[in-house]
Amino acid sequence: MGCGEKDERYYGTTSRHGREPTTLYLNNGQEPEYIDPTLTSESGGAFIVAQIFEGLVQQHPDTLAPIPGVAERYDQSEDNRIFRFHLRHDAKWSDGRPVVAGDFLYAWHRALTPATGARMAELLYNLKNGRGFHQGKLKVLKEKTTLSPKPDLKGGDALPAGQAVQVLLQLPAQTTSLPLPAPRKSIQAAELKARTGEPAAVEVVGLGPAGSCNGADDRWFEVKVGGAQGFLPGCALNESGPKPTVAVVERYTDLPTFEETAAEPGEGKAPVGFVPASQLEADLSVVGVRAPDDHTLEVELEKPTPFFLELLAYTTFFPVRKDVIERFAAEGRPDEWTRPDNIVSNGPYTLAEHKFRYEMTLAKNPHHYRADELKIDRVVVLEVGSYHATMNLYKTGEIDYIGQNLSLPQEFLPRLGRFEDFQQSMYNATYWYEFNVDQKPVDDPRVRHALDLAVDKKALVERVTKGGQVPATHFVPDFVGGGYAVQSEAERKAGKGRFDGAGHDFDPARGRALLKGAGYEIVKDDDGWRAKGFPDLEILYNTSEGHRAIAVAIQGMWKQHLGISVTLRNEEWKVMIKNLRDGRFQIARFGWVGDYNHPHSWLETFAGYSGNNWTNWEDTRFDQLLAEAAATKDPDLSMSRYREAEARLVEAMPRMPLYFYTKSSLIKPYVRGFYSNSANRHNVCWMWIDSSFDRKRGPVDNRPAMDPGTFPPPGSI
Amino acid sequence: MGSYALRRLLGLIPTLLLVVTLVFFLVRLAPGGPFDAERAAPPEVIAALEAKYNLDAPLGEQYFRFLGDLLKGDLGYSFKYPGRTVNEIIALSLPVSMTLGFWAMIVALTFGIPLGMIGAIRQNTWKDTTAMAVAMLGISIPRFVLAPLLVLWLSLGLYLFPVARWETWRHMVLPVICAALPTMAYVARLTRGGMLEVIHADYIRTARAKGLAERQVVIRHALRGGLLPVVSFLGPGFSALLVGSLVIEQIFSIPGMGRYFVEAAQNRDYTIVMGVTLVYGTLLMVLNAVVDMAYAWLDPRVKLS
Repeated sequence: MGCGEKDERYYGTTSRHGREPTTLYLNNGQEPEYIDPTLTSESGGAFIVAQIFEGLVQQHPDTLAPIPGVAERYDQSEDNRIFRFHLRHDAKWSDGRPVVAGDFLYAWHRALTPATGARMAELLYNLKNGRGFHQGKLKVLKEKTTLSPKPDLKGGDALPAGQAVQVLLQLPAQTTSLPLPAPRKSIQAAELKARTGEPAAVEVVGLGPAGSCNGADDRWFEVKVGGAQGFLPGCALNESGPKPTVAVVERYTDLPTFEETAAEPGEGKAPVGFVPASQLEADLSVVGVRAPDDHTLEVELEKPTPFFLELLAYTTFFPVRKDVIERFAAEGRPDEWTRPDNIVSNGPYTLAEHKFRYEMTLAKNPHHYRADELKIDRVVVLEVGSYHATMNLYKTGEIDYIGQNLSLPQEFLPRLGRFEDFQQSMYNATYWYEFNVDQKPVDDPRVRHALDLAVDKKALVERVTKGGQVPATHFVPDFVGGGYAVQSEAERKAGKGRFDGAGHDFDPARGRALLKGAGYEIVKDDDGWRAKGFPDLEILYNTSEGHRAIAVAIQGMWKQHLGISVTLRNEEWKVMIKNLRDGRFQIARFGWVGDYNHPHSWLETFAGYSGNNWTNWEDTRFDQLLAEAAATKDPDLSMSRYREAEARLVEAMPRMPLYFYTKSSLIKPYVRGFYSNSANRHNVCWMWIDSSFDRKRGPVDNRPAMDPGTFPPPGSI
Repeated sequence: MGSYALRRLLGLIPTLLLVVTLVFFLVRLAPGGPFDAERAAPPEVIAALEAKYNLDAPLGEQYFRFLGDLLKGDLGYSFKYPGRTVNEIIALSLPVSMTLGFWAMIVALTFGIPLGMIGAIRQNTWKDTTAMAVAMLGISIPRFVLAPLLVLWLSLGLYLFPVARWETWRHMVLPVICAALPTMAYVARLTRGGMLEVIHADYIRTARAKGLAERQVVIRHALRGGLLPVVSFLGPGFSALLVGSLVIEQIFSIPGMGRYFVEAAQNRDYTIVMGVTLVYGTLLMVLNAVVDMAYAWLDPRVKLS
C-alpha cells in the first residue's frame, strides 16, 4: 500500500492501487443473517440478495420507478386487483436453467408457509387469502366431512372433500376475558379490550349467533366456564393447547378466480359447524397466485393495492429454486443452500466466495440475460462493522464506496460536507417517540400535543443530529412515492400545507395552553416554568450516543418550555424491544423505515392489528380509512384518502414525529451509475468505473452501465 | 509430575460442568430472546423459529438435551447465524485470535522482561522511573484509545501499515502491538517486583561472595526469581490474549473469536455464548495447570501436591 495522489477535493486518495476497473470494492457492514430471499429481513442481507437475485420488477436506480426485471410486461385489471406478468424467455439461473413462473410461485408459497419462518411474510398478505392461509385460518377438508351443530360431532350436513373452510376456533379453548357478559339479550357487539388475568379453560357447548367484536365480524359461542354458563365472542377465546381435537369452521367460498368478477357467494349464510380437527389440511391453492404456464404468473390481490408494483421490488418476492432448497432440507442442512458451492441464483451476479464475517466476493453471472452489458465483473464486499475502520479504509482507497448499510459517524458529518465525494440524500425513514397511551399523563391527547409543540425540531436537527435531517410534523416523509410527494408539494404551493403552521410547528406557548386545558397549571418559577401536578415523565431509548443526545435535548426543551421533569432510561436493544412489546414504557424512541415506496408502509404501523404498534392506541375509524384508501382504484383519490388518514393520526398524536432521516455516504468520484435516492438502494449492475475521471473536462457522463428500460403500458385483463 | 498433570486434567471435568450449567441458565435469564427484533414478526413465524431451535421445550429438557449433545462434541447451531454450527464458527475464528495472541505474548515477553529487569537492577534511578512510567502508561491507556492513535500515526500519517483487516504480515503489526502493550507493561512490573524480592536475598549475596560475575548473578539466579510472578501470570494472561479482544477485533476488523464474548451475549446467541465460554474456560484451566508445573520446576521450594 502506498500513498495515492491526494486531491484536496476528495476525502482520501483517489488512487485504486492498480486494481482492475471491472472490480468494485465496497463495505456491507455486518454479516447478513440470511441471503435467502424468502428469509431476508435486514438491510445487509437484502443488499446481497438484490445483487445475486432478480425479481419480476426492479427499481430504476435514480427515480425508483418500477422497471422490468424478469417480467418484461404485465397486464392489470381495471380495479388494480388482478395482475398477469409475462416473463422474459431468456432469463436464466446461474446453472443455466431457465427462470420459470413456477420459481416465483414456489417462493411466494414458501414465504406464506408458517414453518418456513419468513419474518416478512406479512408483505404477502396483499395476496388474496394470504393472511388467512399464513395464520392457519383457511384450511381445506381432506375428506367428505359432516358439519355438526355441536362439539360432539353428531349429525349435520356433509361438506365435500377439498372444500375450503375458515377456522373460527379450535378446541380445547380458554379465555382471559371474565366475567361472562350477559347472555343472549344484548348480543350485537362486544368491545373487549382488557385482559383480566390467567387463562381459564372453557368448555364450548354450542354455537351462538353471528356478531361483531372490536369492529370485526365475529360469532358468539355458548360456553361453560367454571360452573357458569353463558356466551362469549370468538375474539375472547384462544386455543389452549398445540393439539386441537375439534375445530369450528365456516364454509369458505371467497377463493381466487383470477378474473375481475368475484366468486359467487354461496346461497344464504355460510354454514358453520364443528368438524374433527384432523380433517383440516393446509392447501396453498386458496392463495391468489398461480402459474398457468412457464412464462406467465397470475396474481389476485386481496383488494386493490396501489403499491403492488413497488412492493414487488422487495426481496421476499424474488424467485428461488425448489429443487436446490428441498435437496438441502432433505439432507438436514436447510440453511446451507446459500453457501457459494451450493447456491443457484438468477441475478446479474453470483456468490463466488464467502469468508464468514469477513468478506464476500460476487462474480458476474455468465447466464444472466444482460451479462454482456455489465461493466463491473467482480464485487468484493467487505464486512466491516466499525464506522471508523470503514472511513479509514475508504480514505486509503481500500474501498470505493462505504456501502449502503453503514452510516457515517455523526461527529464527522460537518467536516465531510466540503468534500465532493460526500453524498447526502433524504432517506425514507422517520424518527419518532412512541407514547404508551395507556399510561397517565400521556393518555390525554392534549398532553401529547403539548409535548410535541414544545420540541424545537429545527434546533434538534441543526445542533444535535447535524446531518441535514428534515424536521417532521407528521409521519410519512414528504418525498415518498405513489403520488404522496406530488400531493404534498401541491398543497404546499397552494399555501395549504396540511401539516404546517399553527398546531404543528414549534409553539411552546400553545403547548402550555394545552397543558392548562388538560388540568395542569403552569406557573412561573425562578428560572422558567413549572407544571403543577404534572408527574415526571420517562424517555426510554436504546443505548447509543446519538439517541442519548436527542433525549437529553428534548428533556431540556420540555423543562424549559413546559416545566416538566423528565428522567432518561437507556437499555440494550433487545431488552428495550421486549419492554416495548410488554408495554413497560411511557415514552420510547423508535421510528420506521419504509419497506416500499408508498405511505401505506408507515401508516400501517398505526393500525390496531399491526404487530409494530407498541402504543396501545387504536382507532377503528383510522383502520377503516386506511383500508378504504388502499382499496380505492383511482390513484389520486386513493392518495388523498391516505393523507386524510394520516391527518387523523396527527390529530391523535399517538407518536411524536421528530425528523425524517438523511443518508450520508462517501463514494469515490470515479464510480459512475450511482444515484442518491430516498430508498438508499444502489445496485452494482448499474455502476461502472471511469478510469479517466480526473482527465476529463466538461459535464460528467453519469449514465448507468445499462439502460434501465421501462415497462410498456400495461395490458388489460 | 505426570500423575499431577493427569489429576489436573481430570479436575477439569467437574469444573467445566459447573461452568457450563451456570452459563446455560444465566444466559437464558436475561430478558429478551434471540428472535426479538425491531420488526415484529407474525406469531406464527416466531413459533416456527422457536420450534426449529427447540426453544419451546421446558428448560430442564433443553438442558439435558444440550448436555447430551455436548458429550458428542456437538455444540449446536448459532441462533444469530443460521446454518452455521458453533464448532464451525470457533474453528474459523479461534486460529486468528490465537495467532494474534501468540505474537502479542512474544512481543510482551520480549520487551516486558528486559524492561522490568532494568527497573530492578537500576532501582530508583532515572532508568527505573522511565521504565515504570512506560509500564504505567501501557496499563492505563485503554486499547480503544491506543489503537486509533497508532492507526492515525503509523497508517494514515506515515503509510507504514494498513488501517484494518487481516491479510498480510503487515496487517498484523498494529493489532499485535495494541494487544501486547498492556500485557507487556504488566509483565515489566511483575518482573521488576519479582527480581527486587530476591535481589537482596542471602543466596544472591552468596553467589556474589563466591566471585560470580554480576551478569551471571542476574541472569542465572535473580532472573529466576523475577520470572516466577510472570509465569504465574501467564496462565490467565496468555489465555486472555489467545481468545482475543473485542476492542481490537472491532477496530481493526479482524475475524477473531474475541468479539463473540460480547456480541453473542448481546444477541442472546445462547449456543455461541456457551461455545466461547467453554473454549476460554478450558484454555484457562489447561494453561493454569501448565503454569503450576512450570512454577514448581522454576522454584525448587515449591512442591506439587
